[in-house]
Amino acid sequence: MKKALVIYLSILVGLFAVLFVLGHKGDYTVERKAWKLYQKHIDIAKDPVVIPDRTFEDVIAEYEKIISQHPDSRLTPGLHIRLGEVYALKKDYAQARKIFNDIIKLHPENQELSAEAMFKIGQTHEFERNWVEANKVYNVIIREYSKTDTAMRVPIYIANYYRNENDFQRTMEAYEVAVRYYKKMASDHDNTRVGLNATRYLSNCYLEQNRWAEAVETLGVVIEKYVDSGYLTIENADMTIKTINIVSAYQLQDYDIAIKLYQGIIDRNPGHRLNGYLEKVIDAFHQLRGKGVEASDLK
Amino acid sequence: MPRKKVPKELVGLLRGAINTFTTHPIILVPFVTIAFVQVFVLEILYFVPRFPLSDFFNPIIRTLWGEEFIHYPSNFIILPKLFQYAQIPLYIFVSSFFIAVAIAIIAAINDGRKVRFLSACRDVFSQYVHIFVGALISFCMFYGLHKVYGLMIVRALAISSTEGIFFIIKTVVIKGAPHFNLLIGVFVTTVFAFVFPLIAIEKKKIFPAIGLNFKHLWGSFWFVAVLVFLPTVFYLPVLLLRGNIGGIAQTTFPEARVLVIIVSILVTVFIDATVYTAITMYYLLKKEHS
Repeated sequence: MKKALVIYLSILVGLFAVLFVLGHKGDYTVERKAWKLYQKHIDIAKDPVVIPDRTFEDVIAEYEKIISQHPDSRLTPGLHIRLGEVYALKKDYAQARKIFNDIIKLHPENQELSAEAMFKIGQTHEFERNWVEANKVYNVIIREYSKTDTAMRVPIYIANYYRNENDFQRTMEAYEVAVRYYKKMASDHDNTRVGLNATRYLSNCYLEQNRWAEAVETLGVVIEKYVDSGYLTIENADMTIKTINIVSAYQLQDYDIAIKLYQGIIDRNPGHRLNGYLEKVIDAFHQLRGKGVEASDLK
Repeated sequence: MPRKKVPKELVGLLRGAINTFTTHPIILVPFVTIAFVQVFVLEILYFVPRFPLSDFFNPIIRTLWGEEFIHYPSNFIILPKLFQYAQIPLYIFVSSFFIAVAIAIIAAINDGRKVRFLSACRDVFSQYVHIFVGALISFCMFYGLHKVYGLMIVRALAISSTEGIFFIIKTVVIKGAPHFNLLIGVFVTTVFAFVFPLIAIEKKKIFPAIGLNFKHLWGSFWFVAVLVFLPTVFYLPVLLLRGNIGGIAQTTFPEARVLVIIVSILVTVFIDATVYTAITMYYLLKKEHS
């Protein structure tokens, strides 16, 4: 029995050691270290004011250690961003900006990463209450990294900034700029992922401005054009349909808006992937009516 | 000459089983071997997201479950499921064989014969096909009953009552799933309790062994059921642990899910050793009395 135990344990320990050594330089190891460190990062971000400097230094040192141990990992650029975020939490904005600028210099070919790094630079200016400088940076992102996800969210981000500052006029102007921008991007990049993102952000602009009819119409375009494109996931399509239903029922208080929208999609696209589901949604609206639950009754 | 009735002393038999394998640790070797194979498979699954195993497994996991589950820490969410799937071929091809080896060892010790683990393996290997078919049949029965329970859950979910007897039934059926699965396991083990002893000791073929199994089980079904059930009760804390593993892993570390599986493997070694030793001893007692 003892002999068997020793043999089995040796095999198990040996296998563990071999597999550990073979895989210890890979991306999974970086993921593991980064995830554990990111938990500390999240704890710091909850209330950075109360965190002692020593904790910041420890987290920074650990990020730098992982980066130096795995310089060629595909995850390392993301770790640089996190390192910059920690400096920003520590209110060392100059050092944070230096790190973000280094990322842009080191990875000019990675548009998405560079856009994100620029966005973080803009945020450091915001934290310093220097909106003018931040706005300049955000507009550079829109100009130079227009097709990235980061650039796509900047116009609505700017509008939300003014809304949070209770600057009504600038909020409205920013939303108008955002709407024009998203319409142009949607039209210039029709049937691409960029076009889909632009259309979704356009609908968000309308929703945030309580322009319900335009929002529903725009969401209808998302469903009609992009479900079969491969860019829209089933979960996002489901959420889009639910948003149309809720806005039609509760905000516009008219089931027929959603019913006509879906019926139009079904009529124009006989082979549409969601036709069966849309017919069920139309039925559900008719059933609600049949039970005497009118949209105007909903609060 | 009338057949003597075999005395049914539950606690005595269980105590005797534990004494037997503590005084003859060679009985535990097959069960420890089963645990070794399971931990070996668990180790492989633990290293699946890393090179070199990732080259083979990542495309499969990505296709079946999604990109998320080849990255830390989500790979630990799927690891218990992968291990559960691996348990099926492991039981049918490996564990059943070593259970039969353990039974052969117990019988040899009962006869006063000296026995070694490898020679017992060689001896039982001649009956491997019958053991394999026996394991397959018992697994199919377990799977069938599990599916029936699944249908009961679906029916229970359709109950709309929020109080009263139907609500109680709904709660028991849905929340009692892990416990009912344990009971199904106890039931299936009981129904096929003497198949492996008949194959390993009497060298019967599978279908005669199943027939004789029911003959032996006649009149002692509930005794054997309780004999199997009592040691299995020690698995309940593991079930409790597994039920709360999500919260535990979130509060501590994601690898806690692996530790829980290891604990369940170790607990299962002692439960199986007790159950099969007790069943074999009872079978040998019945044989002596008949």
